[in-house]
Amino acid sequence: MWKGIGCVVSAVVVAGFLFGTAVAAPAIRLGAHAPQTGSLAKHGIEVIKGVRLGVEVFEKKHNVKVDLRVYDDESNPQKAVAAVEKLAGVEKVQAVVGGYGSNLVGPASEAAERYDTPYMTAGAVDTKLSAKKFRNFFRLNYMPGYAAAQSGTIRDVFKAKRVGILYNSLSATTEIAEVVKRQLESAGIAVPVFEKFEKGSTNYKPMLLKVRDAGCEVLLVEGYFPDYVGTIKDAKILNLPVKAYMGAWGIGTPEFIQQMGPMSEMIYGTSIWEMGTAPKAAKAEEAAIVAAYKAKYNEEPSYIAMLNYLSAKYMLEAIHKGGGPAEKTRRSLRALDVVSPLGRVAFDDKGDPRFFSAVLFQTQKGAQVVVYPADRATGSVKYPGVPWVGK
Amino acid sequence: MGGGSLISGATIIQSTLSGILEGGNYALYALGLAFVFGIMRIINLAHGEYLVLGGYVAYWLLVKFGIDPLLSMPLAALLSGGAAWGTYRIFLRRIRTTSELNTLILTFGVGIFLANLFLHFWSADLRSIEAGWIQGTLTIRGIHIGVGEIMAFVVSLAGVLGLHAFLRRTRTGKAIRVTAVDRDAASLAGIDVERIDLLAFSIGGVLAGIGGPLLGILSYLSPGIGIGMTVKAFILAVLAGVGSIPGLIVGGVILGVGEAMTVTFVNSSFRELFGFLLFLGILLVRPSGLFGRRI
Repeated sequence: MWKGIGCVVSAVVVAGFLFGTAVAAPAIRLGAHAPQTGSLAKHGIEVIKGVRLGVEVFEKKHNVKVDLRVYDDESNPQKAVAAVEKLAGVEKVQAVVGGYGSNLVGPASEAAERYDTPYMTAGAVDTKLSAKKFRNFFRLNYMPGYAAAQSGTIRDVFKAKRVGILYNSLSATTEIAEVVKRQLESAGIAVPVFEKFEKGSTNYKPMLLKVRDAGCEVLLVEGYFPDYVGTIKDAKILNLPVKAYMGAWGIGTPEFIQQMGPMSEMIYGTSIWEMGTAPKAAKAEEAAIVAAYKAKYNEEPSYIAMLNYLSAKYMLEAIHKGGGPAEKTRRSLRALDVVSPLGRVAFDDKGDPRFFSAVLFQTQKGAQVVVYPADRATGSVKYPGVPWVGK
Repeated sequence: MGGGSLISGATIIQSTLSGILEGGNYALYALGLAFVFGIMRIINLAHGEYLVLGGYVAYWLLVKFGIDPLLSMPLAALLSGGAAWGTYRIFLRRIRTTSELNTLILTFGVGIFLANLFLHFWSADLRSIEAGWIQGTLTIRGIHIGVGEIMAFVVSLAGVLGLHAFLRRTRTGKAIRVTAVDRDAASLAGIDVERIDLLAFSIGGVLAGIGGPLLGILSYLSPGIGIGMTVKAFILAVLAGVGSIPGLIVGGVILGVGEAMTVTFVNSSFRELFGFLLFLGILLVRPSGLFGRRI
C-alpha cells in the first residue's frame, strides 16, 4: 500500500513540475547599472527610467516575467565595476544594460566580459571602448556619428572658415574634439583655438578671449551641462563676437532650456533622437514609446530615456529569442537589423552600431529644430545667431 | 595652442580682471570653512553642502515667489547656519573632544546626507539662478564685467571685513578668539566654550549660506558639487594661512589671477596644475600659509 501511495505522490510531483514549467516561462534576469547619485545622476536616472519602461513593455508583449536588478554605480568607475561584478557574478543576470559615461562603461564592460555576460550600453561613445573587440560589448551610439553632424553643419550649413574648439578633458569629449578638428581641417577650415579644460572649471573667460582674438566665427564646446552653463554665461559677459555656439551632448534639452531661459536660444547641439525625428518606418513605434513613457512618468522622454528603452528592448528580445545562454544572446544581437526611432540599428563585429548617425539641432523659441542633415531636418537654420548680441 | 602671438593688451587686462573677480568668489566660498578651521580646528567636509543649500534656497525662492536672489541671501544664510547649528548640536558636540579624524568622518557623512537630501528635493538636474539685473554686464573702455561678479566680490570683501571686525571688536568675537587659542584657559575665565563652539560652527554655516546664491548666479547648483567646493575652499584656507581671514582675499586673488594667466599665456589644461603647484610651493616656503597666524 505504501508503495502505491509513494507512486501516486511521485507522479503528482512530476506532473506538477512538468505542468508548472509548461505554463510559466522562466523569468529573464536582467541587470542594469547607472549613476543614481553623484555627478552623473541626472543622466543615470533617465537611463534607468528608459530601461524600466523597456522591461515593462517587453513583459506585456511577450508575457514573460523580467526580474530586473538595478545597481547605482554612484558615477564612480570602481562602483560601476563592482555593480557589474555583483550583477553577473552574484545575481547571475543573463545580461546587463545601462551605464553612462565612457569612463564608467569602459571598466564596467571589461567586468561583463570577464563574466561572459552580454552588455549593452547607450551611454558611452568613446571609440576606444570597442577596440578590444569584446564578444559581449554592444552599444547603440558612438562618437563618429556626433562628430560628423557637427563638422558637416559647420562645413555645409555655416560655411565657416575659422572655428574655436574648447573641450572638457574627459575622454569622450577629448576624442570628439580631436575628430571634429581633423574633419574641419581636412575640409580647409582653420581651428586656431583648440583648448582643453578640466572638469569643474569656473572661469572660462581667458579661453573665450583667445577665441575672440583669433577671429573665430564658430565656438564649439565639447563638454557637458556645467561647461555649457559656464561658457555661455562668460560669453555673455564678454559679448563674444561669434556667429554660432555649438555643444555636443546634454545641451538644448528641456531641462537646459528651463534653466538657461533666453540664454539657451539659438544654440546648437547634437542629439540622436528628438520627438518627430524618427524615420518614417519607425514613426508608429516612436509614438507608442512616447505615449507609454508619458503615461508612466508624466513627462516626455529624453533621448537618453529613449536610447535605454531601446537598449533594454533589444537585449531582452535577444535573450528571449536565444533562450538564455550568453552565446545565443550575442548571436541574436549580431543578427539584429531593424529600423528604430534612432534610425537603422545593426551591430558590427566589435559591437558598434553600423548605421548610427546623430542629428544637429538649433534651439528656436524653446524648441529643438533639427537643421542637419537635410533629410532629417524639421526646420531651417537661423545663422548667424547666439543668445547674447554676438556678431 | 599657446596662443602667444594672438594675445592682445586688452585680453591681458580682461583676463587679469576675470582672475581678480574669480579670486573674490573663491574667498567668499572659503570663508566659512576657513573660519571654522581656524577657530575650532575642524575641517568641515560638509561646508560645500551648506553653500549649495544656500544656493538652493535662493533658487527656490526665485522660482516659487520671484524673490530676487540678493534679497533671499539672509534667509539662505539663516538656513545654512541652522543646518550647521543642527549638525553641531546633534552630532559634533558628542565627539568634539575626541580624535580629529572623528569630526572629519562625521562632517563627511553629513555632507553626503545633505547631498542626497538635495537630490530628493531638487532632483539631479543642474539649477542656474537667472535673475535679471544680476546677469547684466558693464562695459568700460572695451573691458566687460558681469554685475553678478562685482556683486560677489563686494559681498566677499564685506564678509571678510565684517568677520574680521566681529572677531576683533565684539565681546563674543574676542571670546571666540580666546577659545581658539586655549579652551581650558577660556573655560577658567568663565567663557562657555561649548556655546562658543556651537556659535562658531553656526557662523561657519551662515557664511557658507551667503555664498550659495552667488554660486547659483555665477555658476550652477547641483547636489554633487559640494565636495568640490569644499576641496577648493580648503586649499584656499591653507594657502591664505590657517587663521587668516583677510588672507583669503589675497590668496583667492593670487589663485584666480594665476589661473587666468596660466590659461592666457600657456594653456587651460595647466590651470588646475598651477593651483596645486602654488599650493605646494607656498607650503614649502611658508608652511603656515601666506598670512598664517592665530586669529
